[in-house]
Amino acid sequence: MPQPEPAAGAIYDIGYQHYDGKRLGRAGAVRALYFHGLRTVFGIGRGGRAKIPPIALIAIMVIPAVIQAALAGLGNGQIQVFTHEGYFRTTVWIFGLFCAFQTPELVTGDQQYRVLALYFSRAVLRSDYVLARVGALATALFIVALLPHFVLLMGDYFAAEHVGEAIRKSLPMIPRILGAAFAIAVLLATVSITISAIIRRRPFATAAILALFLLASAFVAPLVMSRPDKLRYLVLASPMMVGDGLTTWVFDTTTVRPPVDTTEWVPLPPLAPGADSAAIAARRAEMRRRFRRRRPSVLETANLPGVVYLATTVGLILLGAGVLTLRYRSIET
Amino acid sequence: MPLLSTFELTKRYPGGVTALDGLTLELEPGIIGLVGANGAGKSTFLKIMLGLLAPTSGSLVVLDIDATRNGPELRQFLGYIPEFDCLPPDQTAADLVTHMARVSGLPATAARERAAEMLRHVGLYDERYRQIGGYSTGMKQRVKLAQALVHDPKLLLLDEPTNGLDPAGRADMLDLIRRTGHEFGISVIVASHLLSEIEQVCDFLVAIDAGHLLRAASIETFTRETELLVVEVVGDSEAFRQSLVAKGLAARAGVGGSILIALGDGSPFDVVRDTAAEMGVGLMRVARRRDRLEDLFQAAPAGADGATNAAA
Repeated sequence: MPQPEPAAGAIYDIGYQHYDGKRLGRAGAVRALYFHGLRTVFGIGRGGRAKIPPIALIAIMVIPAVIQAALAGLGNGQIQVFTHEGYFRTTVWIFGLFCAFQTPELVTGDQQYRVLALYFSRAVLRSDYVLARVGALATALFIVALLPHFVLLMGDYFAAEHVGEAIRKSLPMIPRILGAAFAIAVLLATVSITISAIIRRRPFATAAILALFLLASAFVAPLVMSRPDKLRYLVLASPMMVGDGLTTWVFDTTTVRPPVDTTEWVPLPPLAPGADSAAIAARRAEMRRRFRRRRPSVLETANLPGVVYLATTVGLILLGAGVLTLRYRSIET
Repeated sequence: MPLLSTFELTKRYPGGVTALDGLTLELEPGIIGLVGANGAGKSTFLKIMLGLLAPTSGSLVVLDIDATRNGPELRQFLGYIPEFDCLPPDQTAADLVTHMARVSGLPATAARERAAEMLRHVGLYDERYRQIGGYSTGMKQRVKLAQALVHDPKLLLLDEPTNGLDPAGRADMLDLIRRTGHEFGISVIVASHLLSEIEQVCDFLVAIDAGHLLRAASIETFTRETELLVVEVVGDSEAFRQSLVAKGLAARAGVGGSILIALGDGSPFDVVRDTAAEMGVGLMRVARRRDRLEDLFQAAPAGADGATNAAA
């Protein structure tokens, strides 16, 4: 008697399988949290809508650099509208928006939905979690801060007649670009994660970060301008101004702008006694233009040494780390 | 190697609340029920086992690892389900369980494979790409179980796993716990205030109250102790009961004039018959009945003052 063929395509439940493969332990856990955080900041793995803000902000961030690169190509590298040293100041508000919208996502949900209970029942310490999250946001900000500088450099290289020489000329710039981007990334990441971790609700955390990063400078600026002698240290109350001051220092441009080209300052001929109203208006416009050009920025008015900005940056990072440590130690899971 | 052993384990919270008070205990692998009223110290005990809370004094060794010192090392081999909701609503079950596998130290490929396998084990295979926010309580509880099993722990700690589930959901969850312990070969500690529920799945029961150990015994012992003989008589029920007590039987009054006699080890049938004949009362009913464990704790002879609270 021939044996009946076993049914083809039968599904066998092989039951529960024990895992005896590699275990990466605490280091693997921290790495997983870090990369998960990095993906979260850029909206990867969170559906289409979550990707819109980061991508839009990065695009806006790069636009000035693209314009500059195009100008460099057209004007043989002579036209300088957006520079390495001034780029952070130009894009401060984009950094602010990026932190405000992308940071709360990283830490508020874990608290609000109590996912921390699951994390902390794994082989991680609370400080590991904080480090992984701050590290993820700092890495994201570092990438975002570097992108436009990369575009600027490429623009210069392509516009140059001798690429080799252009690269050589730009070499001293590169450690400064990296240094400034790194400092700003760690500063903004620590401050915004700290705010989000304390506030715990996404919309309020977003509002608080916006207020500190964007409104604080608007609030501080008129005060500093009105009493530079007494209130100059108030610029340190705005993290963005601290970042700006630090960048300026790292790029070694003096805090006060170079004096305006004096050839421009030929005295205006006196107005003819019977000048018509059009001539007077033109004269006024010229005066106003000169006045506005000479008006120093807030940081120039404050005129603090670069080391003060560096010390404040380090201080803010340490303060944030301390607050975060206390905050996460006190969370009951 | 015992699964877990504690010595004089004590936890006092800063506010002066004593959650655990000199707990000394040794447990063998299996499914262990940890029962006690709300606030009896169950969750505190679980958190100390996880190395998340430091005890005020005493020692705790789990899986041969000192839980009070080597928390991170120990947690690699533990799975944990908190009693509260702890899932992010905007992720899919597959993503979350994979992520938790990686946080548990599994490499990426293994994490994905085991996540899919675990979701199949808990019966969520078809729904695994849906966002957790849209899940029912029962489904969420399964996701919690899947993430706790995904790294193949040696010991699974469950805190009130049937909370908020409907009867069918409870039955499913209890079945999953039974399978985890008996088929998967993973030891389980289930903390619950519902004794009648976890006695269905446990091999061993530990009862605590106000941080004290009330009883720790195998489920057979408990079952044997909870077997009762119900006797109803025609005549003076109370006098009959008292003469049974005089003959050394643990007879107490039940509802409606019935008499409850703990079966324990001895056989009271002859004594009941003889006493009835002596006193001339008619035996209307003699039946075995299984008492509920709650009743046992109410009459617990373990000497703890708070015994009556155990089933409150």
